Amino acid sequence: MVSGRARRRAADTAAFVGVIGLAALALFPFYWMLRTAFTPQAGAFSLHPTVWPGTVTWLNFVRVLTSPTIPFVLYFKNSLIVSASTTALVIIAGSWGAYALARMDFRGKNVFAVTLLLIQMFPPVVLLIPLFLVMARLHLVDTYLGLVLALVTLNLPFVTWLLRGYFLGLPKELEDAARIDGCGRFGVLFRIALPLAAPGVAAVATLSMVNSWNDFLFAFVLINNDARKVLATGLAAYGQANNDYTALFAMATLTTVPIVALFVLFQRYLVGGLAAGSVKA
Amino acid sequence: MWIDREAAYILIAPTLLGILIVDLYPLFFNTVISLEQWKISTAHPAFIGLTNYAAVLHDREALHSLWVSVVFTLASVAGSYVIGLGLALLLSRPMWGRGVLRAVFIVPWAMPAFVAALVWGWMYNDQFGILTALAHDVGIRHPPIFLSAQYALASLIAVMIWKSFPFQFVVLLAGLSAIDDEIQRAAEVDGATAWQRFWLVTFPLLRSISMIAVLLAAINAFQYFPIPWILTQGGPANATNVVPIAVYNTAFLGGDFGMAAAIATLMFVFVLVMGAAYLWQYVREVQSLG
Repeated sequence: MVSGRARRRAADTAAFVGVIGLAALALFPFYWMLRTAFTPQAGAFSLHPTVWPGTVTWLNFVRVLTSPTIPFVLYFKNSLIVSASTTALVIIAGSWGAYALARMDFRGKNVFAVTLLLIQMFPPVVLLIPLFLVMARLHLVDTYLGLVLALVTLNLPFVTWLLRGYFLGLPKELEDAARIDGCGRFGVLFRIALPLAAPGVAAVATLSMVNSWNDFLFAFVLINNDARKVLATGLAAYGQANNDYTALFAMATLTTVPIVALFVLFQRYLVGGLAAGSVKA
Repeated sequence: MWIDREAAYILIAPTLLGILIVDLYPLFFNTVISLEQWKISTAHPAFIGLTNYAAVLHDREALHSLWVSVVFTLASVAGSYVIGLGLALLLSRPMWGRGVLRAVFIVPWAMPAFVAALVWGWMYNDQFGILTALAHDVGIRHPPIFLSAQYALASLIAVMIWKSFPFQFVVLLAGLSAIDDEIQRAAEVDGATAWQRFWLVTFPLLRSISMIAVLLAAINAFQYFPIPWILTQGGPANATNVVPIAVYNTAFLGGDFGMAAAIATLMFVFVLVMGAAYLWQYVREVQSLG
């Protein structure tokens, strides 16, 4: 019995060591981004870089936020405009559609639901050429609107699908009571169901925001004008045109930290949502 | 269920319109383009039937791209699944700091792909890269040039495994937590070794959720653009020219939209097959839970 317990403790220790090792591997690129961002500008070009930092400095952050030659603030603003507009559009449209799917009966409902599921799997690359040609004809290349419309393709299907699941999980009795008390069909949605679904809407909106913030492909093809570039394409272009790695990773840090914080905050929902999405539907 | 036909149609209209305009119409239009001679130099596209498809299937570079994508997808999905499963098994047992550790493992997933690609490119740098320096430290006199023609694909696969194992981990951990502890304990009482408990009890119970996770990851990897593009742009010498990069290059560097659309359609067929398998598995999973 004692030897069994000792063996189990040894197994636990081995597991712990293995997990810590993997955690170090998982975090290393994130650490290396920070390490470079906090290195003095000339220090990035060491022929023998070391894992531990030498001198630590804030200067790169000051540089990317104030230097007139580094358009970080512009890219950040563009990313914010594009992601927020996309999210507003897909949440408004998606919450209506999701509510109808969850609570109402109409012809073609099942076809619509299956279509939504299928569209989630469309490779964006397949939509790239037609979207580019249409945007070019409509003079929407290099505009916020063009990119926002393209990003709706990525977000609308999954937003509608996840919100449908959320509405299905709400108790129906409140809505029925409001109906009996004379609340109209739309009143039930806007006064009862949507406020109740607020946490779900917030979480789904966050996912859509992150998704748009991270998009590279559409921004790369639809935006060529430097004044309209978003963080994804702006940073990639800056990295290619300049050998200024400390500024590049200071910008990358400012781009990444809010997203990682959101992910960790919404971790519970992420896991729950995945489980619900893939198991409960 | 209320019979509110008109209200339902009003509510559904924005979503339906959005999906018709930005998803279904482009998909249809892509198929049309793939059947046309449509180059940046031609004024009027002309219908040429399946000529573009025939050209793709006889094109060495296109077939090479397909091969590269298949290797990239299989290797990265297999690698991320094994790591994700191992980690889920380790973290499903009680352990000090488990909550923090779970959050830590989400970081690669949370990092935007373009940032991940920039950081890995910098770590792989053959002069100033930390990985090159670390290889020296452990005594490798001539460390590999990570993004050379010889090693670039393997280096990309490593990045993709790092980026996608958290997804497998999260899904499999959810799958593990759904397994009743009693079954494990019963097997233990019956004298099953840890290895037997895994192979004969846990793994079979994880099979359907594993199928779902693996198919989703494969669909994602097969169409993945930012990491290969930012790290190697398909090079050196086409060594990492995955299908999405071939589509982009054919259209926007080669100016042949018809041919690019044909490659994209063929890619869509591949994804559709995996997607159908996924949906089938998904529906079965839902039904089995009643």
